[in-house]
Amino acid sequence: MKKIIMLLIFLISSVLHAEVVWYPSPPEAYKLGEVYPEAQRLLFAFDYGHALVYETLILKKGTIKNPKELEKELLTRIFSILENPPYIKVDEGDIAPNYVYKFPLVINLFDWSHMLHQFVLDVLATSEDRGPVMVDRINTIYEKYKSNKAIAITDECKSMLFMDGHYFSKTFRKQFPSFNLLIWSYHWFQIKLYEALLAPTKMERDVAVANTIAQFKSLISDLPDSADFDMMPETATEAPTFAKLFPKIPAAFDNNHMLHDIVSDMITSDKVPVEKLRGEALRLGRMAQDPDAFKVPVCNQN
Amino acid sequence: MKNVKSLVLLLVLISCSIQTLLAAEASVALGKVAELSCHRLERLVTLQKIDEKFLTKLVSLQIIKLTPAKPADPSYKVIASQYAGADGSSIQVEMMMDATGKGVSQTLKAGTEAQNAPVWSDKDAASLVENSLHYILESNNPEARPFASGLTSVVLKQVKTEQGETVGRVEMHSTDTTKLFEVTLKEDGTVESANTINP
Repeated sequence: MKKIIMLLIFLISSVLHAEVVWYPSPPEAYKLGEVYPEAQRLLFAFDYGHALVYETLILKKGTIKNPKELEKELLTRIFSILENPPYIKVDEGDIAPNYVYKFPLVINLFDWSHMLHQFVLDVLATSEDRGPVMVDRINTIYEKYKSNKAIAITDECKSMLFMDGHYFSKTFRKQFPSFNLLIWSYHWFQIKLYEALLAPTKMERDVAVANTIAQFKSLISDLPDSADFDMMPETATEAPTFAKLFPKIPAAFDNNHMLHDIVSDMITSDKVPVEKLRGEALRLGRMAQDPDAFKVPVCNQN
Repeated sequence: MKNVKSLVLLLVLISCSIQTLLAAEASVALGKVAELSCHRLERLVTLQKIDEKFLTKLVSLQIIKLTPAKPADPSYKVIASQYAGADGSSIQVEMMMDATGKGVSQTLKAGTEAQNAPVWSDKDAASLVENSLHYILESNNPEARPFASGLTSVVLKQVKTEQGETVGRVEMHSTDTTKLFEVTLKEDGTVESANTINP
């Protein structure tokens, strides 16, 4: 009986932790990097940075005596990656095996959502048509994203309390204020790129993307003061044109970003011991998928 | 070609300027301004620009809509007060917010150290106030609407219920109604009840 139970656990874990594959890969996949290589490399760096901070905090959970010192150390490592960001997408399993083991569902939710992020940017960066054909293409990609119900984060608008209203909430930003603002600056950059890539001409898009990169660098130039975010940047606010064209995608992105902050808080908080992490991550991951959890009647873009 | 490039850049700059001007005239519901000010308070405490007692001993927010003379002038002022000290005065921070409700500056106002401020066992005072504001902004309760739109003040009290449970009671005033709105929250921030009351 014990062997059967172990086998079942192994099988369930395998399913929960199965590689996420977008098949067939869109022809535009990762072509953002051909047009705007610096922006693409920064996005790869963000994935690396997220994984690195999660892994470090999991490994050090319960033993951090000097959060300020750890934050300084982490930021130094992250900034060296940002100064020389990777040319390819890094495999989280290689950088953060403990994180991948403890958060199997959440990893899959993030992977699937990040692919949506990426492919939308790829289409915006490369589409020759700037009108209905481009819009339809993105909507097709978005339908494919939604169709994978097992790992799609809901596109129903959630209250900020989904991020801030749990027993462990806000721990990360209190203990690591500069790192929190770095992550919010990442999210701002991702969102702002959508808006920049909607500029009507190639020349305007080039200028807008360059400005977005420059602004991002300014945001992180002197943390925490340089990044004046009081709360997580929201897609409809930072990318209003994008939000009007694609009214459901902003909430899916914002819910993804909130889940990232939830993971940061869970890992940091003493109220979530190591042995509870996996279970809580499953619960909160499911909440991110649940259209009714923390649902608000009116999205902020309305 | 050079002239075309210059013209395009000029058009981009003009449209950005128009958007900036329009942004200065945009208005945000006063309840939303109050909610955003809670986030601002947290940031100011995290950055050690103000004392963390603004989170633990917060008693009230006062929300004032301003009339900016220039686009860059603030559109709202929110005064956050700690519990009063022995002489009746409170330490306050005046937060100036722009047309979108974003904090742009703050001024500390001197007062006496808070006395007899209640102790909260789970969420702090500022989080309880914030949760009550989320309620008026996000619930389907039609009674909450005038308080989302015309909120002028929020006052938090600690109350013991008949069952002996400690709860937070947030009382709200609005220019859009003569009634008051009362939100009762458990110490974990969960809203227990919310309804209008007569003054």
